[in-house]
Amino acid sequence: MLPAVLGSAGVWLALVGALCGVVVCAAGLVRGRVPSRLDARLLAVVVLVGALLAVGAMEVALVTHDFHLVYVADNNATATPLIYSITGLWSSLAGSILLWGLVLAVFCGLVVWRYRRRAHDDVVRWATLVMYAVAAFFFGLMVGPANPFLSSAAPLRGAGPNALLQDNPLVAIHPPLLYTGFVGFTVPFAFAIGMLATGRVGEQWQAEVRRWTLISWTALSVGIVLGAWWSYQVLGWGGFWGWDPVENAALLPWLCGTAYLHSVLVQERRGLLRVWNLSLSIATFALTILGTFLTRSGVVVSVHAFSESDLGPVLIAFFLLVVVSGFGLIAWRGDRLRSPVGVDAPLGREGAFLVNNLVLVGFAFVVLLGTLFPLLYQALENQAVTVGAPYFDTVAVPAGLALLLLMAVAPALSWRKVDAGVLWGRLALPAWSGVVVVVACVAAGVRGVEPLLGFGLAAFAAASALRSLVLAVRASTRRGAGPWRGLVGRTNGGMVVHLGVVVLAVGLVAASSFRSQAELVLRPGKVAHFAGHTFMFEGLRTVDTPQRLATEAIVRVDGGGPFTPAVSQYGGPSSQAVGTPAIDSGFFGDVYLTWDATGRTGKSTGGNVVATLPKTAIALGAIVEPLMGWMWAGGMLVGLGGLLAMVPGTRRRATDPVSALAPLVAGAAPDPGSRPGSEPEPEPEPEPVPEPARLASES
Amino acid sequence: MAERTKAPRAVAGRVSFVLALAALAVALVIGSGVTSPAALTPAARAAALDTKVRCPSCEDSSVAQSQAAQAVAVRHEIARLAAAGESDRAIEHRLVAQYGPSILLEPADSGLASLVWLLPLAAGCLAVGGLAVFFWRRSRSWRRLRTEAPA
Amino acid sequence: MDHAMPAPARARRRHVTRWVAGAVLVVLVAVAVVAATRPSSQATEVQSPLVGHRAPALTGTTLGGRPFALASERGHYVYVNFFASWCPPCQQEQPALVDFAFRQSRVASGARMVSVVFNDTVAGARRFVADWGLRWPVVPDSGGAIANRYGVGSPPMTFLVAPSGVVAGTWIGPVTVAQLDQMLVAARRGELFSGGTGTGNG
Repeated sequence: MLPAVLGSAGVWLALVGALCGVVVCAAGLVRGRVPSRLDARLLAVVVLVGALLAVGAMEVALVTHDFHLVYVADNNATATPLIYSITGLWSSLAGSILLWGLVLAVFCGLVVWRYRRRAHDDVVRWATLVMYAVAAFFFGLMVGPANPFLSSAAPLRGAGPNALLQDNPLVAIHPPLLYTGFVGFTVPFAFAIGMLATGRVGEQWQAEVRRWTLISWTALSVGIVLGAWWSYQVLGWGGFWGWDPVENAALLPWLCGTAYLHSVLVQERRGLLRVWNLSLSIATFALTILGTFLTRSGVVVSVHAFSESDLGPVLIAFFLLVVVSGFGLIAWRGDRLRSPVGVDAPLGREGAFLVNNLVLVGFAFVVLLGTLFPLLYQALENQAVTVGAPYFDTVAVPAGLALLLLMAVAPALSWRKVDAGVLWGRLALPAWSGVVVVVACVAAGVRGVEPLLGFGLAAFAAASALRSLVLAVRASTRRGAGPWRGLVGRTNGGMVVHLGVVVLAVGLVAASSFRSQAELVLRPGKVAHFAGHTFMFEGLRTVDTPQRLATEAIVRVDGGGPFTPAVSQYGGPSSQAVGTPAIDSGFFGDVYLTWDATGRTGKSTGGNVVATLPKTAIALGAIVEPLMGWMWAGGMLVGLGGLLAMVPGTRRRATDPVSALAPLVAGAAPDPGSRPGSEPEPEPEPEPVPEPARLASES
Repeated sequence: MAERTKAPRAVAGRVSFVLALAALAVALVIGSGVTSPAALTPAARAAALDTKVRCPSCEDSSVAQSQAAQAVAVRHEIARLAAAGESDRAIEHRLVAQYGPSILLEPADSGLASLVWLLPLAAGCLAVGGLAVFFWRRSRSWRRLRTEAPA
Repeated sequence: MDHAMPAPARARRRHVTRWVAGAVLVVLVAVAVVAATRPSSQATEVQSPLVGHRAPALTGTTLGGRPFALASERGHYVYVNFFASWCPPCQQEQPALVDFAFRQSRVASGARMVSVVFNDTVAGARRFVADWGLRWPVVPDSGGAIANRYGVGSPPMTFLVAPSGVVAGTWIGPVTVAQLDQMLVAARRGELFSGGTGTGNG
């Protein structure tokens, strides 16, 4: 019973701390710049301690199999191994909200600590207020509809985690990363509200927000890729992405966050797109809340959705609050935030970023529409409709190709305007490498416009990114700063991210365009050939551990192995059997094996093939997917690039050389927006606000 | 960038650009397979249809992806009908008559369901149009500034 | 600061921001309201397109070894029930089906029953029939062809076929005696009936 008491105490402590934080921050805002005796900073510690206490209590209960707690009984069994006991924290609804709360408490603490010397700045006050308010909402959920510490007087029988959540260690990494990504987007949102409420849309603040966004974005990117990898390894259909509502819920904030990371550069360098950037920060956060709603309310049909709950109305109400406050503030403040200068020419880098943003946000719109459409259609027509992979692919393919093209061209563009001759000079080598790759692919027998364009543009983009990196490394070596300096910082890290995306895209195109699939009927000791591989079935073996009861088929692929596709039962002989695929991964591609049916057990899967299966034979599903591993490697490279981009780079000139007309366009008055340091100072001063604006904000 | 050899380099650049585009176009035409069109066999048609039909007992995966019994049954049915020479449309109609419109993974392109196609199209047109107007207005005011106050 | 832009243009664009933000807000609020008022997907009933149309062919050899054809039951109301032994809602509804079948068997023009095995082994189906005491024809569905013709995604699902051979009603999910009665009454009045608890195979 102790964990239940301690855990509930932790949740209440965090809730009270967060509520006090809201009140103290609000009081500070009302009373102006006078340092208040009450300090909101300490409350972040209170929230963090409460969250740690609650999570600690839950983990202790899970690891010690304390089945007094209903949550532990539902998601744990005595036989559950340690690692899957620990991951039990996020394998069901209430626990996942608890993890959300912990990550949010950590981010609260980080924000308060980072701006500890500027706690009396109004932007910081507003931002911390919003952070506390969001934390209060989530801890409020935990004392209300999503209470993870419900307990029963007598210990219950542990049901064990869902079978799919206990046969791959990736479940230990992927959800926490995903949650770090989701929750981290609270910080940009909090600062967006802060900037809107105070009317100070300083480029310096946006530079700060960009860093926070980058942290979340990197975690979310790696989280999404690992999630795809997990489903590839576990779900047994050889795919990794099904455009499921829950997957889309993770993709939507990622798309908006990616758009923001690009467009904020335009604001930093040129003072443009201020309203747009704030909108993106707000939209990203709102989409994480909408995703939470879709995942946890049970209104959409999804394989990944948590069990039904009554959280739906609460979450949608919170989504409405976020949207109304965010976009309401933009509607109210929009006029003041307008940029003083505009994008000059379609060829400049600003133009490329603008197009990039339209593609990303347009794609996000399509994904959102496709995800919500069945819901809306059912409401209007009272008839079910499915929006599935073919719909999303129709849009994803051209959008992906357009993004690859932009990734190839944009790094060669200068800010403002670039001469076509100079541009071609920079792009000639990358463009030719793209063309050479297309020609080589055609010569090697690759057919299909989409994959050819995909490979060609990927080579173009990769060469373009490599060119930028080589130039940066060379420049930093010449400066004597050491070659590694050319790999860190915003731009260079970004190029590494681009390389990762390109590698991922190559894997994606190859694996989805050129996969081949067959069902092989194999007798023990016999060999089958398919898609250039040989398959030998050696026999069956039974694996019986306390956690898992499985029958494995021993298969050798091209003489290597053995690989053991299996049918497994987690939690006793009466539990549901799940297929466990086996994968032979290599540099050039994967062979994915599933055990579809066996003649011996007479187990029918309904197909005609099975009805005629000989007694000792098995039906082996074989899927050959070229370059599949590149996707995961590319995802890791994206993560590495994100980390490199977080390291402060070398100081650069404020702006690249611009054409002679620049000062005329910017106006005679010095424009603070267009000349910030390219890397933010650790202590940015609030941007000077034009006098009328400041007056208006204080009235 | 050294600008001394600008004129010859610009010409060389233009030639190189055109050459690259031409090589790409030729490679894509050959690579698209139009030079050797494969006959659309019933099996190929069935395989294409399989990716557009939802597995009846799953949430949202296609019968091509799923090994569930009902998915296999639908796959066999599609293969049988395709081999019997029924058109793609007719096979889809048949499935809709049995399972309802939600059996297809793509919403219909008529009625209210077509909004899922039309809205992105409208948004795309709006975005492209907006971008064009924006750039046009920008470059116009830029030109005007240049004529008013030459540097 | 805004020298580059003439004053009227600035005023107009100010309104653009406001209008766009307002419009986005209105759309999002509308969507959120729809989302908030939707019942859970598991409770939304799905209508079978077969209702009102001729019942698809249903022939086979029963578990008892006798031939069965739905067409030869013409002139009677026939309930067609799809089940699997591994499906808990199917187990849940069997007492109702058995009770209802018993009462109908004592009425002169009572409805008849036929069960179709959905994705299950023959052994599993036999055990299920013995356990629950089903006394009407049970047809195994090798390869899922019958289920496919009837558009059954997951059991249990029940169809009511009118004496004319037209599907008069469907029920998706576990069914109760009252619902079976209600379906029959509606069909006798010539009404079409669609309903269900939509719980699927849980």
